[in-house]
Amino acid sequence: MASVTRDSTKFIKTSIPLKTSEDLLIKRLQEKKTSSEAFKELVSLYKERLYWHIRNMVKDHEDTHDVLQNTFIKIFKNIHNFKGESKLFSWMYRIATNEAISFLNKRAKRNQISSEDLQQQLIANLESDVYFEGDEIQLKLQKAIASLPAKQQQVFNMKYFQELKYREMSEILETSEGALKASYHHAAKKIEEYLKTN
Amino acid sequence: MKKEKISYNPKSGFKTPPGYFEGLEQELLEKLELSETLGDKKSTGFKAPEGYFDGLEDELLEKVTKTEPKVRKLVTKEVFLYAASIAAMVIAFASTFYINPENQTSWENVELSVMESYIDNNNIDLSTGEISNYIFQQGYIVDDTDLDKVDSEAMMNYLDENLEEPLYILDED
Repeated sequence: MASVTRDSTKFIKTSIPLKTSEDLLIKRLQEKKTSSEAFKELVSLYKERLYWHIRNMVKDHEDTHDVLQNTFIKIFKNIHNFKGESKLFSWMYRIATNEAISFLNKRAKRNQISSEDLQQQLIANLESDVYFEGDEIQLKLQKAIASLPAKQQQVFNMKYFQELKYREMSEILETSEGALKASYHHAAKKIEEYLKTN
Repeated sequence: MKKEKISYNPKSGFKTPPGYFEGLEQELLEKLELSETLGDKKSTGFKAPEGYFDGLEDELLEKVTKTEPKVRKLVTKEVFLYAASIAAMVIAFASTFYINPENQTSWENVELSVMESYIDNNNIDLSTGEISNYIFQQGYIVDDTDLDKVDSEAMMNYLDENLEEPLYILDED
């Protein structure tokens, strides 16, 4: 099947717009007559970064697409209230993170299983997923990540795959840099152990 | 082993973020250990369908312009409080006959119990955790650690947006 492979790390390193152009974009988003064009620009700038961020959490492409849509709808509906006290990037990442968590919780509830069981189910589905082309080690790594507590999964994905800085993660997850470092340390240790023993 | 002598001249003007050197060894070690096991590639293995990102802007714009005008206002604050008060009165009245005295529903918590039973009966497709960690207030997302800071307007907006059939609360009792 035709497909395109994306490495999430490539998009994180793309330059983030300067504060001034970001301010301008927000202003255009908040004004009715310029909001449509500005929204298209916003999507163009962040679609891939947010897609891969969500994909790391929900695993399946179709589900990621749904969550991405909801994320941008929420951003558009709430941009007029955005006061610019945090970076637009962090604010959007936070919405995407919350949307993905919300989606996973609803899915677990609908299937009447725990969040942990849902994680295992998502990973089991990867083996037959046409949009997963990972080798044995990558699949094992996904299994190892799925065995972590939710917060550690988030921290590990954001640090290891997306190569976000602790400062950026701290703004997105509203957690101190120290706590994030500790969380990543625990996650990396557990993954290391899992990979050695499985 | 003796620590390396500091050769850095602070007059150079360069500086590091606070706490940069603390835990650097640990961080490097973890990186090294994981790269030994996993190799240098950091790809997740996920891929997106060919051309998925092309034209996403137009697709999403269509979605937001479709969902933007909010024509139906399912419940106002007054209607909601009115409905909750009636439900509360019915429960309080019934409780004097049917509820074990040790577990009586009191006036202080009766509204909360109506809400809880409404949620427990799956009339709302949300967990209380979701409610608490995803409320917009003045453009900010208020999480569960800040729940006490949620004002009534933000809460009503949230309920207005998420309760599909809020008046069913009345039918519960």
